[in-house]
Amino acid sequence: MEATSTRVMTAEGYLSPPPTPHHYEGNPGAHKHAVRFGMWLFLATEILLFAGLFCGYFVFRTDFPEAFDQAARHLSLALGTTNTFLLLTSSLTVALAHHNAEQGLNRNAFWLLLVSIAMGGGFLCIKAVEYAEKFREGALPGRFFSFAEITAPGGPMFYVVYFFATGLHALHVIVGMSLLTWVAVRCWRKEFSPTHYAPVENAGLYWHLVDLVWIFLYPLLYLV
Amino acid sequence: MATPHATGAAPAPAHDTPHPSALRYLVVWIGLLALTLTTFGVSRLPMSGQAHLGAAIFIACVKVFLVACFFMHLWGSEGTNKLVFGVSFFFVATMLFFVLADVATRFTLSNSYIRPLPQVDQSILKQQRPTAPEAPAK
Amino acid sequence: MSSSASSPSASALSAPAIVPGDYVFPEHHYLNNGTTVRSWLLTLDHKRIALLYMSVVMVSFLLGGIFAMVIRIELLTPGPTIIEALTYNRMFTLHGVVMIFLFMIPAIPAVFGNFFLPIMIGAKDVAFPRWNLVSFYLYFFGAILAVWGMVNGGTDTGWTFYTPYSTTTAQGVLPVLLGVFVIGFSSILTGLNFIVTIHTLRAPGITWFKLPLFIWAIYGTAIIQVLATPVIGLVALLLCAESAFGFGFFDPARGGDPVLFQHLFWFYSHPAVYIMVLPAMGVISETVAAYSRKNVFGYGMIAASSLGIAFVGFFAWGHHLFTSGQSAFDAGAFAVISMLVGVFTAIKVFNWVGTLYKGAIAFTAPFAYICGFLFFLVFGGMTGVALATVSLDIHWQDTYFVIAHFHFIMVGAVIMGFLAGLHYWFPKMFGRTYHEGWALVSAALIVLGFNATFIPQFLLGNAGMPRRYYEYPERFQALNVASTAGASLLAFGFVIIAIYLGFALFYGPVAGPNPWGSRGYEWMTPSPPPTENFDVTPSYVHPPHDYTDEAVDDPGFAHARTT
Repeated sequence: MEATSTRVMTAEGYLSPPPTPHHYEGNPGAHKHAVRFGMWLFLATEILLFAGLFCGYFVFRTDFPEAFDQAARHLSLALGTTNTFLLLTSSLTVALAHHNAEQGLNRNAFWLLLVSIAMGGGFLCIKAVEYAEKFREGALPGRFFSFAEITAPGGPMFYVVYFFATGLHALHVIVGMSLLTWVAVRCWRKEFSPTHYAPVENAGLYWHLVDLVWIFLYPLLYLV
Repeated sequence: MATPHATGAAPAPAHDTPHPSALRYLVVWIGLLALTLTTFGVSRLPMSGQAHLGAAIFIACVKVFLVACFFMHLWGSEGTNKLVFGVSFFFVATMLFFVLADVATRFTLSNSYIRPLPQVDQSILKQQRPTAPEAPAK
Repeated sequence: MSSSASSPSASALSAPAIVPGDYVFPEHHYLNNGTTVRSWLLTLDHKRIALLYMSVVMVSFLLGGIFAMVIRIELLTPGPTIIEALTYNRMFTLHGVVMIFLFMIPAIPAVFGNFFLPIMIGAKDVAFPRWNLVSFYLYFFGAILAVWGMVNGGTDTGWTFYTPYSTTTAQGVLPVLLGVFVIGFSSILTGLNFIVTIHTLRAPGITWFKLPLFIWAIYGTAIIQVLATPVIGLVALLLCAESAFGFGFFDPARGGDPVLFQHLFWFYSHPAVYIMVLPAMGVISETVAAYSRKNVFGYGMIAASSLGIAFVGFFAWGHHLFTSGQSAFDAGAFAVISMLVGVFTAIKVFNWVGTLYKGAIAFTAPFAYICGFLFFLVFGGMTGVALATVSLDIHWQDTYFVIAHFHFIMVGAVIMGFLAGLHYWFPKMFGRTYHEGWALVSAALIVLGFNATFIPQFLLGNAGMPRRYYEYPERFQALNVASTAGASLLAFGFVIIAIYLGFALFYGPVAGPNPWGSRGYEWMTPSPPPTENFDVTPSYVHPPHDYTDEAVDDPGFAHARTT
């Protein structure tokens, strides 16, 4: 997107920053603020997107408390907790990658981002294992439900919320991994410097949001 | 990790002068892991369902606060970013409040809650007169 | 801000409606800066993007209007007239979706907001020009997907897609829902862009309380766009999944809750009506000051009430669920909060009227639209407060009373605002003025036609005629015929506008920088503006809408000629 052809390798070992856009000329501080502010506004939209699913969770939990209790016990607590650990740690590595990119240490940032992406991939693998188990058990949403171990009424509704919430979340994990990959490639190309690291920050913010959603999903689905 | 940062030519935005050490991220991470263990432990305590839910949500909120403030750098960031984050949660709370208030205060039989049949001791029924009352309808 | 000039008793300056003079069309401006198709389709200039939006918005309005006319012609007789019942259901679905998602939501923000926001704050472009272009293409392709989806799938659920019908009907709903999802993203990006622009690109001298009132309105609108639109995105996804897989999220037989759908749907769709009305109110704030040549009465209150409407509008959605099985507690809470919105609207109306009082009024076509706007907003708003009374809504819900109420606001207020803005800003956008005589004729036709169309509908609804009904009892026919006659008059008025504005685009007299002698900030640049918005960066000494003596003689307001 930036005119990388006009950027040259500086003495510190990273590319010179791209010029400030013409409508922000003379005010690069405002541009930096604008880019970060715009990302936070976008994160607000993602928060509101998941809000409706949490709404559905609480409505059906109020309607079918026993079924939700039983179904939660049948989820694999070990896998869920491992996933939580993976996402929290990948948030750490993303934050560290940002920390390094801010100082122009592109190679460090690159490896940290790779670790984060790998953890995201691990999260998805565990999710796939969990989903496969659900398919085997018949613990599926709506009319596909055939899990006899949940005797209380309303079992299908738990799995509707479960699959939709974790599915939408997994989609966001995939998007987040793609963003991190793209930024990692740019780290490899040494594009980031103390005055230009916004892409790392913004991709990081998106990844942290994915983590935030899971921080709420984990106890609500697995623990209570 | 704690290398001195290069001096940039352009004025740096509010949150990254001076550079925090990377150690703070590790500390926050350990705190998050500890809170995860706590929430797991609390879920094993014998409490009412409501208390479990309340505790879980409270701990989750603390974790969200930590991730947002330190990993997402909200702590030293411009006020507008904090406002955006806070306001979005406020409207989520609004949605949850009114929808749950509806479900909670509705005419109860219009909820989707399907009442299971009461478990009647069959031996008692046999001792009744032949014209025993029917089991209550769902 | 000069306080004496904002009181209604301050003298207003008289001036002719259009400042005479022979002006020369500027040589270099945004319209001729690059004439290839590529320079238009891949433009990053917010003014060109505004015109791209305008063309699609106008086509959408035409489409929605055609569907409306089909509906009204069908309702001329109690039985079948020109189409059959299923087609009728598809017609009102098409009319609703096209008018709301393809016209009303983008119209004023994406056209006039995109064009004038940067100019009014002294900026060269919006904060993220590339995302601006992306938002246009999302709108464009989403619109095509939605319309194709409805035509191909025969969607007949109404624009509200209520469950269980929408999830069990054989008529297709998936493509139109995906189209709505994509258009929603466009709306989010526009809102995001506008918020960041207002925060970070204001020229030195333009503080928050020197922002033009149109900008305050756009700001409130953008906040709603960013916060509310994701919920309709989720609802569209949930409905798609329901329709395709039958999960039972909204199906009581499986334990789901159809009222939950209505909660989630209206959580967006009620603030959405404020996305439509707030920008129109912003336009009226601008034009009321310009055409009464007087400082706005109560600038601060109008600005605050814009944010107030945006905020309170989020807490009122349950008034659409009064008869749907919502709890009495919620119904009562929503009823009271819905009435609160009327307070903020009333504040604005009183301030506008206070501005008009003792103003030097130039009765131009835009002013005719202002009059129409005020009348229709007050009556539409009052019927809204009446509908917010639960005991009354029991009788009026899902009748023509509700239809008349929201058309009074959406057509009566919003479209009057759109037309006022279109005529007020036409000279600035295209450098030419239009024929005032024909403009007044069409304004008269539109205001009269509107009354003739929708007042009978209040009476019909009060008498009990339900909405979305293909057939109706004989006794309702007279009012239906009257409504259709009015609709024809309304349509005719729009046709005349298209003709004289189209003519003026190429053959109208050159406008000059400030034909209205207005003191809005956008008039401090040539008409049409150069690509970079300003030849000479203005200095913003006076507040916008400032008609005090010192401000009038400010050389920044062009009496400066372009050569």
